[in-house]
Amino acid sequence: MNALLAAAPLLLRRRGALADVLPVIAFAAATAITATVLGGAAAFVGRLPDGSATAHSGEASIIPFLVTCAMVASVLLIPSAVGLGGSAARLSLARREQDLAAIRLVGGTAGQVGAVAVLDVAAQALLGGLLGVVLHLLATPPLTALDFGIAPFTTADLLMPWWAYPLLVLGMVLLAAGSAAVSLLGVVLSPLGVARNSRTVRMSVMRLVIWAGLVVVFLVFAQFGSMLLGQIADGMVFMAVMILFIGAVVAAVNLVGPYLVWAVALLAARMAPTPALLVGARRLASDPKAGWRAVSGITFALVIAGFLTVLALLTRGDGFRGEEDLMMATALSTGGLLTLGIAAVLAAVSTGVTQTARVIDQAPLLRAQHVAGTQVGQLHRARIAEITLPVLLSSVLATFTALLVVMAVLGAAPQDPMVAIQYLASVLGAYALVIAAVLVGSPLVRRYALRGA
Amino acid sequence: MNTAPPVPHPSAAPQAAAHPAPILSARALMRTYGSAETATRALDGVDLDIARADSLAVMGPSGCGKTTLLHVLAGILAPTSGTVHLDGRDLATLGEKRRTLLRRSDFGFVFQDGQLLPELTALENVILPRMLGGTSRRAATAEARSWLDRLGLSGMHDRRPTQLSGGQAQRVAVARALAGRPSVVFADEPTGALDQETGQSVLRTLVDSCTETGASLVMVTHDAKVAAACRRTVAMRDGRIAREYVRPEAQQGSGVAR
Repeated sequence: MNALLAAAPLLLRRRGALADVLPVIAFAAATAITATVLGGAAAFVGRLPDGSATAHSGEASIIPFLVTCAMVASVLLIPSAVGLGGSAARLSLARREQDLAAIRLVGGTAGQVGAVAVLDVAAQALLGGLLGVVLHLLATPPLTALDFGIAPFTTADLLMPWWAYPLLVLGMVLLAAGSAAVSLLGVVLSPLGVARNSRTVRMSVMRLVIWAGLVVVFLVFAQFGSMLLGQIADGMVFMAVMILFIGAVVAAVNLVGPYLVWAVALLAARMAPTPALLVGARRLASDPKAGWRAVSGITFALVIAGFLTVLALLTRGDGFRGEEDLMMATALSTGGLLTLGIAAVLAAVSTGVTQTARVIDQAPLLRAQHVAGTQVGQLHRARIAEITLPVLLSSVLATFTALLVVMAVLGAAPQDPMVAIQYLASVLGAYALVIAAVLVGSPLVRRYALRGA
Repeated sequence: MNTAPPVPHPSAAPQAAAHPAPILSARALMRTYGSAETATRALDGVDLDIARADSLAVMGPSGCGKTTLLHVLAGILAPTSGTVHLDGRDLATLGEKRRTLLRRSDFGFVFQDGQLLPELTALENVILPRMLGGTSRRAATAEARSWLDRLGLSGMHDRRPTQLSGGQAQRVAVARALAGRPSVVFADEPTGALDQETGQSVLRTLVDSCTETGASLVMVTHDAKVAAACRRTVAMRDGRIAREYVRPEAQQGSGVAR
């Protein structure tokens, strides 16, 4: 085993700078975002007033509500960041499959190969994690300039305690190793090559049923939960369960999203009048989870944009006149925009990395298609078609989820047409972001298609 | 001119009499990879005519330039110097876009590993190039079904490449190459990844289909038995045509089990 591990760096060929850098970028972004979100949430918690005081005014009176908002933002953002880490692990492993088969050929057992694969992914996660911490340390001082309407945070406030950083990097490495180990279960690495346990993809309708069930339970709890739990600990238990429910409902879009992508892509492939739509829809139907992963980040960003739009308009209402109200309005506006900004960065990295990786994976087929007469422009259009369908579904699902949560919390849908206009602007921004992330891979498509010409 | 003069088989009928009009014509083809000290000359002055509905096998050891020749003839690679004329049009004067359109409209390709899109069904793999060329899905589907049935793939239209055997997948590739009624089909080791029996069957399908549709066939192979399916064979060495062999009518396809 030691000899094999010693030989592993020789056997694991570097596949070119970009293919190796992509997972590291994803690990770094996931670590940096997790550290920044946790540090920020901890900073708000650190401002909580002393429990011995009975009545508060000014900043102290709104801090508990802001802490709740920070928790909601953390619940929304951290699962996405962790998900990006998992995607990065799968991406890294996919790059290595042929090399791992070569190790089997020279005498490595399946267990040894598995260990080498997991260690390889863990090494990339370690590098990405360390880079992420550096990015977080660099990004934190500028964040102190943000105006939350309360006394400004210092850099020290926004940083986590020193011992949390090694734990965070260790967590990222363990997450990556775990994701890689789970991914390996679906791959047979024989000495003669790689065989993926491929079968015709069928998404279970149970995804839809579970999601719908969760939505119904959430609505029922929002309506009657305060009667059950409202008296316990000043309503804090009800609040905590609501936050968990909101997190679960938002996270559940990742359950129903791939099912919707699969169902719609199958329908589109059967009727596609253009070659771009045919290829794009078939690719989505064959791997709907990957198709959804490309837009899951943007879905979270759109849900957050939905909350933000409603909150921003609420705080402009007639009821918001006092000093605390103005502080609250500033805090919600800045916090919401910060959350949206982080979600947008997460979405851009997630979409850019997954789309670029897809191009690298498809290099031989892109070349073959071009040789057989497919123009480079048609290859680009197929990629755009492949992403357009999930983006459309994502915006519909995100709008529904945001509206659902807002209605459950406020008891009614917002009536102001400005809500719709501002939200539409967010949706268009999301489309632009995803299309830009897809276009990042376009020079690679051209290079692969024209290789050797 | 470095090309060795063609050596017709004594019993072969004169080429001009049987196939008077070349559809593809190459003159003084040179192709060099790299530059200065690392330069490798893959083609070193090749002259070649391919007649309509003719079949030509290009043989030779690894690195002799046979795949480069196929790529240059098909407009995939531009020659360093020399000309390739398709029906009178010089491919070297066409831009990348025009050459791509030409490959789509006039050429068909069969690669060693099929290069089918794995996510598409057999039928969709065949209709895709036709749709790219502007044919409606309905019309392309009707043609593709007919080709797949003709090549023994009825009942397999909706299978993915991973659900087909190697021979069946290669027949889909043949159907895809021929569905657009190309004037020339280029095949690069089309049976290289198949066992002998399946390879012979696919080869027979390829040659017969080209004959039926009047398409010329240019096939790169290292296997003399596979080359025997073609009327003409050129043997390459060090980027040049070292020898040419024209099979008499009676022996054509003698390497193909029927």
